[in-house]
Amino acid sequence: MNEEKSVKDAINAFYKGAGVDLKFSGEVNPKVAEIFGKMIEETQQCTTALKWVPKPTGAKATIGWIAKNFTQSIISQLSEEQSLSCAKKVILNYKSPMKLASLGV
Amino acid sequence: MKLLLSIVLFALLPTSSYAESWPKPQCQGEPYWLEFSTVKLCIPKQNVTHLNILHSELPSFTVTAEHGELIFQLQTAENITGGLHSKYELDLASYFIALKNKDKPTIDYDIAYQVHELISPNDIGIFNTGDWLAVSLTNNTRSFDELFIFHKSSQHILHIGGQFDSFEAKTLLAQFRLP
Repeated sequence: MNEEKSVKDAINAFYKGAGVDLKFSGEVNPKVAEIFGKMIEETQQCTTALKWVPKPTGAKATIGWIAKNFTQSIISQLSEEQSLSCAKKVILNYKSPMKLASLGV
Repeated sequence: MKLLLSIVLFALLPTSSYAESWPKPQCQGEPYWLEFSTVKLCIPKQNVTHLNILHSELPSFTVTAEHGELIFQLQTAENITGGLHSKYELDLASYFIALKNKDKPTIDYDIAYQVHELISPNDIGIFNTGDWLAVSLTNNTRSFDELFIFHKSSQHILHIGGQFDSFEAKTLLAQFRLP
Protein backbone atom coordinates (compact mmCIF):
# COMPACT_ATOMS: atom_id res chain seq x y z
CA MET A 1 0.00 0.00 0.00
CA ASN A 2 1.22 3.45 -0.81
CA GLU A 3 2.70 5.04 2.34
CA GLU A 4 0.77 8.29 1.99
CA LYS A 5 -2.50 6.40 1.71
CA SER A 6 -1.54 4.41 4.80
CA VAL A 7 -1.09 7.62 6.75
CA LYS A 8 -4.43 9.04 5.56
CA ASP A 9 -6.17 5.78 6.43
CA ALA A 10 -4.53 5.71 9.88
CA ILE A 11 -5.56 9.28 10.70
CA ASN A 12 -9.12 8.73 9.47
CA ALA A 13 -9.35 5.44 11.39
CA PHE A 14 -8.26 7.29 14.53
CA TYR A 15 -10.93 9.95 13.99
CA LYS A 16 -13.58 7.30 13.34
CA GLY A 17 -12.49 5.22 16.32
CA ALA A 18 -12.92 8.27 18.54
CA GLY A 19 -16.38 8.95 17.12
CA VAL A 20 -15.34 12.31 15.67
CA ASP A 21 -16.95 13.46 12.43
CA LEU A 22 -13.74 14.64 10.82
CA LYS A 23 -11.98 13.53 7.65
CA PHE A 24 -8.32 14.13 6.87
CA SER A 25 -7.85 15.83 3.53
CA GLY A 26 -4.91 17.59 1.96
CA GLU A 27 -1.32 16.54 1.70
CA VAL A 28 0.52 13.97 3.78
CA ASN A 29 3.91 15.43 4.65
CA PRO A 30 6.51 15.12 7.43
CA LYS A 31 4.71 17.73 9.55
CA VAL A 32 1.42 15.81 9.33
CA ALA A 33 3.24 12.64 10.38
CA GLU A 34 4.93 14.44 13.27
CA ILE A 35 1.63 15.82 14.55
CA PHE A 36 -0.11 12.45 14.26
CA GLY A 37 2.75 10.93 16.23
CA LYS A 38 2.20 13.51 18.98
CA MET A 39 -1.50 12.71 18.95
CA ILE A 40 -0.82 9.00 19.44
CA GLU A 41 1.65 9.73 22.21
CA GLU A 42 -0.80 12.02 23.99
CA THR A 43 -3.61 9.47 23.60
CA GLN A 44 -1.41 6.82 25.18
CA GLN A 45 -1.18 9.04 28.27
CA CYS A 46 -4.89 8.84 28.95
CA THR A 47 -5.93 5.43 27.61
CA THR A 48 -4.49 1.93 27.22
CA ALA A 49 -6.25 1.47 23.87
CA LEU A 50 -3.16 2.24 21.81
CA LYS A 51 -0.59 0.59 24.08
CA TRP A 52 0.47 -1.69 21.19
CA VAL A 53 1.89 1.25 19.22
CA PRO A 54 5.66 1.53 19.86
CA LYS A 55 7.37 4.88 20.26
CA PRO A 56 8.96 6.17 17.05
CA THR A 57 12.76 5.95 16.93
CA GLY A 58 14.13 9.43 17.17
CA ALA A 59 12.03 12.29 18.45
CA LYS A 60 9.44 12.53 15.67
CA ALA A 61 7.02 10.18 13.97
CA THR A 62 7.59 9.87 10.23
CA ILE A 63 5.42 8.83 7.29
CA GLY A 64 7.31 5.52 7.18
CA TRP A 65 6.79 4.90 10.90
CA ILE A 66 3.04 5.44 10.62
CA ALA A 67 2.82 3.25 7.50
CA LYS A 68 4.71 0.48 9.29
CA ASN A 69 2.89 0.61 12.62
CA PHE A 70 -0.65 1.15 11.39
CA THR A 71 -1.19 -1.80 9.07
CA GLN A 72 -4.55 -2.51 7.45
CA SER A 73 -5.56 -5.07 10.10
CA ILE A 74 -4.66 -2.73 12.94
CA ILE A 75 -6.43 0.16 11.23
CA SER A 76 -9.58 -2.01 11.01
CA GLN A 77 -9.27 -2.83 14.72
CA LEU A 78 -8.90 0.82 15.61
CA SER A 79 -12.00 1.67 13.61
CA GLU A 80 -13.96 -0.76 15.74
CA GLU A 81 -12.80 0.71 19.04
CA GLN A 82 -15.38 2.44 21.16
CA SER A 83 -15.40 6.19 21.13
CA LEU A 84 -12.73 7.38 23.51
CA SER A 85 -13.08 10.63 25.44
CA CYS A 86 -9.33 10.74 25.62
CA ALA A 87 -8.84 10.42 21.86
CA LYS A 88 -11.59 13.01 21.24
CA LYS A 89 -9.77 15.44 23.48
CA VAL A 90 -6.52 14.85 21.63
CA ILE A 91 -8.20 15.37 18.25
CA LEU A 92 -9.70 18.62 19.52
CA ASN A 93 -6.27 19.61 20.83
CA TYR A 94 -4.47 19.13 17.52
CA LYS A 95 -7.27 19.98 15.11
CA SER A 96 -5.82 23.33 14.02
CA PRO A 97 -2.13 22.31 13.77
CA MET A 98 -3.11 19.20 11.79
CA LYS A 99 -5.28 21.15 9.36
CA LEU A 100 -2.57 23.75 8.85
CA ALA A 101 0.03 21.04 8.23
CA SER A 102 -2.25 19.31 5.70
CA LEU A 103 -2.51 22.59 3.79
CA GLY A 104 1.24 22.62 3.48
CA VAL A 105 1.50 25.86 5.50
CA MET B 1 -22.61 74.50 13.84
CA LYS B 2 -24.94 71.63 12.85
CA LEU B 3 -22.11 70.05 10.78
CA LEU B 4 -19.69 70.33 13.73
CA LEU B 5 -22.23 68.69 16.05
CA SER B 6 -22.74 65.80 13.59
CA ILE B 7 -18.99 65.22 13.39
CA VAL B 8 -18.67 65.19 17.19
CA LEU B 9 -21.61 62.78 17.56
CA PHE B 10 -20.20 60.47 14.87
CA ALA B 11 -16.83 60.41 16.62
CA LEU B 12 -18.54 59.31 19.81
CA LEU B 13 -20.20 56.28 18.14
CA PRO B 14 -18.61 52.89 18.92
CA THR B 15 -15.87 52.29 16.35
CA SER B 16 -16.28 48.52 16.53
CA SER B 17 -19.27 46.39 17.38
CA TYR B 18 -17.34 43.11 17.32
CA ALA B 19 -17.94 42.20 20.96
CA GLU B 20 -21.26 41.26 22.46
CA SER B 21 -22.01 41.80 26.11
CA TRP B 22 -20.97 38.96 28.38
CA PRO B 23 -24.11 36.90 29.08
CA LYS B 24 -25.73 37.46 32.46
CA PRO B 25 -25.36 34.53 34.91
CA GLN B 26 -27.85 31.71 34.32
CA CYS B 27 -27.60 29.27 37.21
CA GLN B 28 -31.28 28.75 38.13
CA GLY B 29 -30.37 28.38 41.79
CA GLU B 30 -27.52 25.93 41.10
CA PRO B 31 -24.35 26.69 43.06
CA TYR B 32 -20.98 27.07 41.35
CA TRP B 33 -20.07 23.50 42.20
CA LEU B 34 -17.56 22.68 39.48
CA GLU B 35 -14.19 24.36 39.62
CA PHE B 36 -11.64 24.23 36.86
CA SER B 37 -8.43 26.20 37.03
CA THR B 38 -9.48 29.70 38.11
CA VAL B 39 -13.13 29.54 36.99
CA LYS B 40 -16.26 28.02 38.49
CA LEU B 41 -19.31 26.59 36.76
CA CYS B 42 -22.95 26.09 37.71
CA ILE B 43 -23.84 23.43 35.09
CA PRO B 44 -27.08 21.80 36.36
CA LYS B 45 -25.89 18.79 38.38
CA GLN B 46 -28.98 16.69 37.74
CA ASN B 47 -28.22 16.71 34.00
CA VAL B 48 -24.67 15.42 34.43
CA THR B 49 -24.47 11.67 33.78
CA HIS B 50 -20.72 11.24 33.49
CA LEU B 51 -17.57 13.08 34.53
CA ASN B 52 -14.23 11.88 33.19
CA ILE B 53 -10.97 13.33 34.51
CA LEU B 54 -8.35 12.81 31.81
CA HIS B 55 -4.66 12.29 32.36
CA SER B 56 -2.89 14.78 30.15
CA GLU B 57 -0.07 17.28 30.25
CA LEU B 58 -2.48 20.17 30.77
CA PRO B 59 -5.60 19.68 32.92
CA SER B 60 -8.66 18.35 31.11
CA PHE B 61 -11.92 16.55 31.73
CA THR B 62 -15.15 15.72 29.96
CA VAL B 63 -18.69 16.20 31.20
CA THR B 64 -21.63 14.35 29.70
CA ALA B 65 -24.90 16.20 30.16
CA GLU B 66 -28.09 16.87 28.22
CA HIS B 67 -26.29 18.28 25.17
CA GLY B 68 -23.84 15.41 24.94
CA GLU B 69 -20.18 15.31 25.90
CA LEU B 70 -18.30 18.53 26.48
CA ILE B 71 -14.51 18.52 26.65
CA PHE B 72 -12.88 21.06 28.96
CA GLN B 73 -9.16 21.64 28.74
CA LEU B 74 -6.50 24.22 29.34
CA GLN B 75 -4.99 24.97 25.99
CA THR B 76 -2.19 26.96 24.46
CA ALA B 77 -2.72 29.68 21.88
CA GLU B 78 -0.29 27.81 19.64
CA ASN B 79 -2.54 24.75 19.45
CA ILE B 80 -5.72 26.80 19.08
CA THR B 81 -4.51 28.69 16.00
CA GLY B 82 -1.81 26.33 14.78
CA GLY B 83 0.54 29.28 15.20
CA LEU B 84 -1.33 31.48 12.73
CA HIS B 85 -1.81 34.28 15.26
CA SER B 86 1.99 34.47 15.78
CA LYS B 87 2.58 34.40 12.04
CA TYR B 88 0.41 37.50 11.71
CA GLU B 89 1.98 39.08 14.81
CA LEU B 90 -1.32 39.24 16.63
CA ASP B 91 -2.28 38.27 20.14
CA LEU B 92 -5.09 35.74 20.41
CA ALA B 93 -7.83 38.31 21.03
CA SER B 94 -6.80 40.48 18.07
CA TYR B 95 -6.52 37.38 15.87
CA PHE B 96 -10.11 36.28 16.44
CA ILE B 97 -11.39 39.84 16.15
CA ALA B 98 -9.61 40.05 12.79
CA LEU B 99 -11.22 36.77 11.68
CA LYS B 100 -14.61 38.21 12.61
CA ASN B 101 -14.13 41.60 10.98
CA LYS B 102 -11.99 40.41 8.04
CA ASP B 103 -10.26 43.76 8.13
CA LYS B 104 -6.57 42.84 7.98
CA PRO B 105 -5.26 42.49 4.41
CA THR B 106 -2.16 40.52 5.56
CA ILE B 107 -4.27 37.58 6.73
CA ASP B 108 -5.03 34.73 4.32
CA TYR B 109 -8.65 34.32 5.39
CA ASP B 110 -9.17 31.30 3.14
CA ILE B 111 -6.55 29.36 5.07
CA ALA B 112 -7.57 30.67 8.48
CA TYR B 113 -11.22 29.84 7.85
CA GLN B 114 -10.30 26.32 6.75
CA VAL B 115 -8.15 25.82 9.85
CA HIS B 116 -10.98 26.88 12.14
CA GLU B 117 -13.79 25.15 10.15
CA LEU B 118 -15.51 28.48 9.58
CA ILE B 119 -17.94 29.24 6.79
CA SER B 120 -18.76 32.87 7.57
CA PRO B 121 -17.93 35.58 10.15
CA ASN B 122 -21.38 34.85 11.62
CA ASP B 123 -19.93 31.58 12.92
CA ILE B 124 -17.78 33.64 15.30
CA GLY B 125 -19.18 35.06 18.54
CA ILE B 126 -17.01 37.39 20.62
CA PHE B 127 -17.83 38.41 24.19
CA ASN B 128 -15.95 40.79 26.40
CA THR B 129 -15.98 41.74 30.07
CA GLY B 130 -13.11 43.72 31.53
CA ASP B 131 -9.89 41.95 30.58
CA TRP B 132 -11.66 38.68 29.72
CA LEU B 133 -12.62 37.58 26.25
CA ALA B 134 -14.68 34.64 25.09
CA VAL B 135 -14.84 33.41 21.52
CA SER B 136 -17.38 30.91 20.22
CA LEU B 137 -16.99 29.08 16.91
CA THR B 138 -20.19 27.32 15.87
CA ASN B 139 -21.92 26.04 12.75
CA ASN B 140 -23.60 22.78 11.80
CA THR B 141 -20.74 21.35 9.73
CA ARG B 142 -17.94 21.47 12.30
CA SER B 143 -16.27 18.45 13.88
CA PHE B 144 -16.40 20.30 17.21
CA ASP B 145 -18.11 23.52 18.14
CA GLU B 146 -15.72 25.47 20.34
CA LEU B 147 -15.66 28.05 23.07
CA PHE B 148 -12.47 29.78 24.22
CA ILE B 149 -12.34 31.80 27.41
CA PHE B 150 -9.22 33.70 28.38
CA HIS B 151 -7.79 36.61 30.28
CA LYS B 152 -5.83 38.91 27.97
CA SER B 153 -2.63 38.48 30.00
CA SER B 154 -2.82 34.71 30.50
CA GLN B 155 -0.79 32.09 28.64
CA HIS B 156 -3.45 29.45 29.03
CA ILE B 157 -6.87 29.42 27.53
CA LEU B 158 -9.91 27.52 28.72
CA HIS B 159 -11.04 25.52 25.69
CA ILE B 160 -14.42 23.81 25.53
CA GLY B 161 -15.34 21.51 22.65
CA GLY B 162 -18.58 19.67 21.85
CA GLN B 163 -21.73 19.98 19.81
CA PHE B 164 -23.61 23.21 20.46
CA ASP B 165 -25.02 26.16 18.58
CA SER B 166 -24.37 29.87 19.18
CA PHE B 167 -27.29 30.18 21.60
CA GLU B 168 -26.13 27.17 23.62
CA ALA B 169 -22.60 28.61 23.64
CA LYS B 170 -23.95 31.77 25.29
CA THR B 171 -25.92 29.66 27.79
CA LEU B 172 -22.76 27.76 28.64
CA LEU B 173 -20.81 30.99 29.02
CA ALA B 174 -23.50 32.28 31.36
CA GLN B 175 -22.77 29.32 33.65
CA PHE B 176 -19.19 30.43 34.25
CA ARG B 177 -18.03 32.61 37.10
CA LEU B 178 -14.73 34.33 36.44
CA PRO B 179 -12.22 35.17 39.21
